Amino acid sequence: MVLGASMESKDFCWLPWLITSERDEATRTRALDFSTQIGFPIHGRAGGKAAYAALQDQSVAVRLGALKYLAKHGPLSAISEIRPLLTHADDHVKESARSTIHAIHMRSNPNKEMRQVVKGAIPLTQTLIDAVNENLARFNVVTLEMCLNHSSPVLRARGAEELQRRGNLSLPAALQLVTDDSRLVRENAFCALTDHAAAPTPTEIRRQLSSHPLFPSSVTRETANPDRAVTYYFSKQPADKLWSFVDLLDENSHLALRALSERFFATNGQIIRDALADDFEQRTREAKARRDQQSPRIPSYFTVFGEDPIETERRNLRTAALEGLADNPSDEDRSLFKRFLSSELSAVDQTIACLRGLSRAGVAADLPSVAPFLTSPSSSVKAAAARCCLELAKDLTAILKELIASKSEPILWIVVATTLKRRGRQTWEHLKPLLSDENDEIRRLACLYATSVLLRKELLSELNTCLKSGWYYYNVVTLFDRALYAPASARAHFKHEEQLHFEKLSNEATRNWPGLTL
Amino acid sequence: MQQQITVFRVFIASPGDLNEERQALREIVDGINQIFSRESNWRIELLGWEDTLPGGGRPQDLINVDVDNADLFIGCLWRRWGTTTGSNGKTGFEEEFDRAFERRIKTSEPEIWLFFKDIPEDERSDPGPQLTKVLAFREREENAKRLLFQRFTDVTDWRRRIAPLLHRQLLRLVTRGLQRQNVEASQPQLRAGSTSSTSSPGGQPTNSPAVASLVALLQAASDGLASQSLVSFSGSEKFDNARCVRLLLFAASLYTGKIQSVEFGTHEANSACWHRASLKLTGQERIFLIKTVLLDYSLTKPGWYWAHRWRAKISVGYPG
Repeated sequence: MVLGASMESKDFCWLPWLITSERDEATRTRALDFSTQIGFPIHGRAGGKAAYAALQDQSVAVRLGALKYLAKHGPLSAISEIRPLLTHADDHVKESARSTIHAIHMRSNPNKEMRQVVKGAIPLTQTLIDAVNENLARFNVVTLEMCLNHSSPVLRARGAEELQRRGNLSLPAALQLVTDDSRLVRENAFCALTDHAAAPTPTEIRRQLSSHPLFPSSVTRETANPDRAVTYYFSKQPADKLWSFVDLLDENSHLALRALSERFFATNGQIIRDALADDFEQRTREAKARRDQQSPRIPSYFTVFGEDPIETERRNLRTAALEGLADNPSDEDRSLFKRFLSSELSAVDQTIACLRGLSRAGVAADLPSVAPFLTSPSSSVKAAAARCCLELAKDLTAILKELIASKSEPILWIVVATTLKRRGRQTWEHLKPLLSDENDEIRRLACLYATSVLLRKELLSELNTCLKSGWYYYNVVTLFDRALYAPASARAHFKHEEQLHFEKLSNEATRNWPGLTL
Repeated sequence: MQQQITVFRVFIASPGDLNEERQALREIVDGINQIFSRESNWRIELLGWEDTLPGGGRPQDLINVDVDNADLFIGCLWRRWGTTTGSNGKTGFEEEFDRAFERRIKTSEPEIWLFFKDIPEDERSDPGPQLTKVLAFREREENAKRLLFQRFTDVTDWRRRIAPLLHRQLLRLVTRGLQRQNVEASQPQLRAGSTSSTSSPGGQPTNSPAVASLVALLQAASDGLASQSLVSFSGSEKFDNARCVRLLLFAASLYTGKIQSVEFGTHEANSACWHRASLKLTGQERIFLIKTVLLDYSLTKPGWYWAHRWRAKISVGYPG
């Protein structure tokens, strides 16, 4: 997004000045990066054409910063300004100028430019990869098919992924791509084979996509997701076939059960429920019997070195079944969810599924069963328990106070995300003391809540209270200052930065239980 | 070409026993004016009872007009305290000093320097009524330590002491004038928006609150230096925190633009935020703070306040 010559562009009147007139190279570079991040138009008249001036800067870093900006926001007319840098003495500048010109052309005419890149065997720099990602949806099938022949595994994978997503990856192409060096390419090829009803068995798909730790089949470092290709395979299978895969109790069985839950719960929910009530005992017994029939006398690897793979898959099936019930709970499932709550670290996903289910099928009386998990060593379980408590509690204020008092990052993440989702402002009263908490992350979470829900005058009052207290944490005042005074596009950028900052915690807190964001 | 002269008015107050020193001061001022009037638009105007135009009414009232207009009041005493000049029972010197001092209390002006010519010990042991008053005044001011205070032995020593002081004072004024011009000229590419009707082309409006407050601050700092209140260990207490932050900010913004790139530290940026409501900043200072914030990767330096609703037209001078 590039800002127009709006009021907001006036808010950044200093930005072009810093880029062109500031003596310090680091500041000029930073100002360029910031312009790129917020999309302030420094190539236009409103921005004093500062991006073009920066192309002539004596500093290589500044020139590269200007090229980065133009690659993302530059118009076609910028190319004539960039072209002189194609003969620049510095190789980085030269290479970046070339990529930037391609990126600008690609924005204007994606197919023509992409074909030229492929035909010319142009090396794929990060600038070009970004441009490809940005324009992928605009490439036509012919262009995407050309991408499959490029030397870059990244470009081949992007092409294969997009073609498969559109249903345009032909059978001959897919058959060719399943032997590609890139596992990512192979992953998409197997999905395409599924579309053409030509896929091998799930076991074979997994085998071909899994890398061997000692002898990787690919020279590239990217990894594939066999679960995705197998799940895609199961998404095309009928219920009876899926049950046959469940009964195998191999490494794909839980994915088959998940597909059953997602697509056929109405007709298969009770069977899943019964299997869970039996803890998949009968199916496990039968699977072991089949295995023993096939190789009765040979002691297998697992009996000596580890857990029986059938038992491992049994646990996965248990989790998949609980997840299915959590998505479609009935009152009778409440006891199942409570039964399978586990404090074992190996059963994190199982417990999360139970807590998720209880949050929908449970009652306030179940809180004592949930509460112990608020102190689980697993951040994800803690967060799920907090989320469950918030759903079950009759006295929301009391439970909020209790959760906030825990001063646990994942629990506070849940409190903030949940109350933000409910658009509640009353939680501020309880979160406010956290502004002076010694944990940096907790203060940041409290600030994120405050800057999201408080009115401007309320936020200003909080800022002044902090400053007048004579003792405060710097990041609190800095975050409030940003929220109060930074222009809208900068605020949006800062909010994105905060979300990135909390990305790891967010992933932990919403593991197998999506639906909440900061 | 017509040149506008800036006059620095110095009033010399002394009883009649220091005529030789008064004459010496006049010669020193003439010498300084000869140099400075060639190199700058500054000159010193020396005022005293002998310069007062004749007129009706009490003579001291006419002299007091000059006292009230003075930028610098030099009080000089030796043996005599002087004679009363009217119904208030004060001597000419006493009335002039009190008047200048009262104005200084109210307005921080004029600058006041006190000089005492040494008294031989034998006279000190048996002072007459005049000298007794001089000694009492001297003791009071010595104890108060509120004004620049010096002693001298004779007219040669007087010359030696007063000349550099006057030179320095005038240089300070000239420098301050240059600083003011620098403030205005330091934003050649940031032209004031249409909000000001008095903006000068290519510079900050000369009457903008930001420049005016900076000028007042530098004046106060200069005064504090002249009176030594800012250079004594406890003197800085007279300078409040907001003014200290502004001085630091001004100096840092000059330094970063001229010598080496610097940013405000965490404490300094937070101090500026603390005093944000009372600080009226120039474009140069704002840019400095914004730069500080932009380069803050530790999330500890607030400062978007300074960018908030700041309007300036940009001319980066790119030829394309």
